[in-house]
Amino acid sequence: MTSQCLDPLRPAPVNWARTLWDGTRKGLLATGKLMLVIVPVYTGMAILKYVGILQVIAGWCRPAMRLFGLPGDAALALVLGNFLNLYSAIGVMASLKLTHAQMTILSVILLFSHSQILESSVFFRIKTKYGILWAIRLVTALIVGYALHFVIR
Amino acid sequence: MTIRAALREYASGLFSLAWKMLLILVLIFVVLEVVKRFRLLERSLKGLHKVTGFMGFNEAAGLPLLAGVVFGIVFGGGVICGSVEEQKLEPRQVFLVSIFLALCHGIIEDTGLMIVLGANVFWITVPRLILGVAVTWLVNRWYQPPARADPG
Repeated sequence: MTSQCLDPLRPAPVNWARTLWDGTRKGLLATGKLMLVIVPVYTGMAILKYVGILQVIAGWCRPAMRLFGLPGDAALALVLGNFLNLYSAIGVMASLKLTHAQMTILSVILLFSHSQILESSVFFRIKTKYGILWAIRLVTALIVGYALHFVIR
Repeated sequence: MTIRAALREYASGLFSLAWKMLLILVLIFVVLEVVKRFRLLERSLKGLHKVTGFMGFNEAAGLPLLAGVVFGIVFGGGVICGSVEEQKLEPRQVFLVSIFLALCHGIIEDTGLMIVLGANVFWITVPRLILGVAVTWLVNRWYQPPARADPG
């Protein structure tokens, strides 16, 4: 396959059916490989959400919100965003009364660190150091959120 | 929430995620194949490498980087999964791509959501980009795997 593609003197004629099929096959294969980890992880997350344990964790995080200049209720957005996904965090954010500066700070923290379980499972699937990556994201999110609190008001 | 509503939310959420993955990944790989056939790929990856090379990326890393920055980690990871058979991405490259994407990904959808809620565009994009570049650069410079060094 590669030999005919890499020959610089004689370009192979484009076989459209073959090209489309190759792309489709690779796309399907990649989706399948990822679904192997995503389905169980997604199932676990749905259970976490239903059981209500995330609300309890959010309760523990409330006092820390002062570090970022955020109201205590923002803890629920951060916890849901980190364990589940951005959409569930946004559901909470929409119900909070936040200034533009607070909204920006909360958004930055969430954009650095969100969907940690699902995205770590992708890192696990591609066989890279998911633990380190998880830590880098969380620490960066907290540091940048804390720093921004002094920069924008 | 009743268990019925929870189950329905679970099923529809999983289905829409799977469907989105399937569509976007098939689209990415079909476009890739077409681009490859017309030999545009090597040239564009070389161009991209001029920008990303100083962080330690090789030319093959350009693809998952682009997919991840534009569409998100799941899709960058999908491209890595799909191109494993082509053997162009060694573990170190996969790690570097992952670090960059961990800090800076899904620039369109994720950022768009936050802008709609009233966040400042500058503060939610520029710090992520700068930190993604800086951390990848630092890790590439300071972290050498114990077994063997990266050739080239």
